[in-house]
Amino acid sequence: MTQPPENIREWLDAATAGMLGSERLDAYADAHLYIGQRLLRLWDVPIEAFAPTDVFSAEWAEEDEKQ
Amino acid sequence: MSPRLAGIAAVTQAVKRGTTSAVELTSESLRAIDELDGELLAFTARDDAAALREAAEIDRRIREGDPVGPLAGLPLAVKDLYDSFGLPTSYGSAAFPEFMPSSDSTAVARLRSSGAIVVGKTRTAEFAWSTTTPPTKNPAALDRIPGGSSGGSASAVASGMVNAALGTDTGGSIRIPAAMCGIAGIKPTYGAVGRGGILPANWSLDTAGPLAGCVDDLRLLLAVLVGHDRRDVASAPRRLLEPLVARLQTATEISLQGLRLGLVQEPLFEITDEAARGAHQAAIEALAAEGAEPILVVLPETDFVEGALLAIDLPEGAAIHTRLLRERGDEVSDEIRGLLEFAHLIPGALVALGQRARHLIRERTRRLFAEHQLDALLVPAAPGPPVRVDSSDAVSLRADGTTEPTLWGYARICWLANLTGQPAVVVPLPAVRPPLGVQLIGRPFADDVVLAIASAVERVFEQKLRLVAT
Repeated sequence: MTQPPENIREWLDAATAGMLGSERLDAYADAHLYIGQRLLRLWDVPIEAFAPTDVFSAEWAEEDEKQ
Repeated sequence: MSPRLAGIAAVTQAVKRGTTSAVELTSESLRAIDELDGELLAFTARDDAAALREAAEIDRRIREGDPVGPLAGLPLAVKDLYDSFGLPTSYGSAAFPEFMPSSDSTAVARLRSSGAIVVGKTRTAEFAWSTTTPPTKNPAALDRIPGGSSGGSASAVASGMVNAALGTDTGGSIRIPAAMCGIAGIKPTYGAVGRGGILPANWSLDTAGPLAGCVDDLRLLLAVLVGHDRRDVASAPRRLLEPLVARLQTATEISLQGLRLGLVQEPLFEITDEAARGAHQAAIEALAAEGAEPILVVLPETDFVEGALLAIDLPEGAAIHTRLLRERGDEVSDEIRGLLEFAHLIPGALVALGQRARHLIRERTRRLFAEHQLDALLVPAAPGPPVRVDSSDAVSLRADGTTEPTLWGYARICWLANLTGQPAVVVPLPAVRPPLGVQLIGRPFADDVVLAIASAVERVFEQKLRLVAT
């Protein structure tokens, strides 16, 4: 069983499956920058413009009705 | 022309009538692989003896009057991401050199029980994470990439080594290689084709589907492939799939007259290559001349498509492969390992916003179809022709003055349909070299309708654009 981390650095390392500080993160920096730029556009998603739909509950109820 | 290279309907009818045999077709396909694959490098595995045994069994059934399936004797290939009994699956990765599946994936089982003959496995990019498939070559332009990640399947079909092949499409992996090799391909509606026995690249975006020489062949393949799959938690319910299968079994002719095709104006669908822009415009004009109605539409939410796709695709992919990376990471290529490791660092808030954006994009796209009474969206299949093999690190200039890695651009133009789950078909522009195509995006679970539209579009292209070349 995985041992619980004792500090936040350990926690981060465990949460990323030990991948922090990898040289590959630097080696593919250009590709990551492209991805990062696209990801940052998401801060502009109009979260208030779209009412949430709880599709999972609806599906559950639909299944119950059938039985 | 060999009867094997006719459309699927003609090939399977010839087998059933006895004017050719499954063994003859399979032998011819295997000879073509012997002859061509030394250069094209599309196949990763074959079992000729098993394929010929399966073909002989089809011939025996026909001789003895036993029923055979709709794809009787059809030689086809399967992307090396699908389990196929008797053939090794490597997922395009050195981490799985000798994995021998003990059963067929759902899609392969459906094809085999319909009489198709699996002649081999085709090359995929590692874990299906690329828009190209080295070292496979593009038979339509040997100095260009074949596209990916289903590049082996596209190369095998475009060269005539097989009549059809299976691919997967998480962010364009069927449509990109189809467009680049000049053949037809469909990303079916999400949930329509079962994914049991396929290595997942992404749980909420992956689709399985066929590539073939023409649109009607896609219909015949999909009529067999669509169906509920107990092994796939995202498989759609039977009440949606059974009527779709029934509709796919019959060819429907749709007239282009009055057909409303939405042309999305946003930069997501920007073509970065000048010659490709001209070819795409010529295609739209040819369709309009036959009575189709191109309708300019705006969908500003497409500005979030790239972010949403990446925020969902990368972390899901990272979650799928974390254990492998931790335990045997040195067996994964540096490029894929670096990408997946980076994916672990994407902030959770952005992933939540990506999911939110996905709902928004899907709802706005649905409304767009309703408000404009659209039959389909007509968008480019690629922002430009396939790059040269030695230029895979090329960048393309966007209209806003920014640049994008050209290999990422091929994917970006496909991502709307992955996020919304809609079916999307690539129709090649005939005689254009290096190849280009258009993409038709239809309504969910109306794959039959978008295929019928694509078939009508294909007929016009064959008649009107045959002589156009970029």
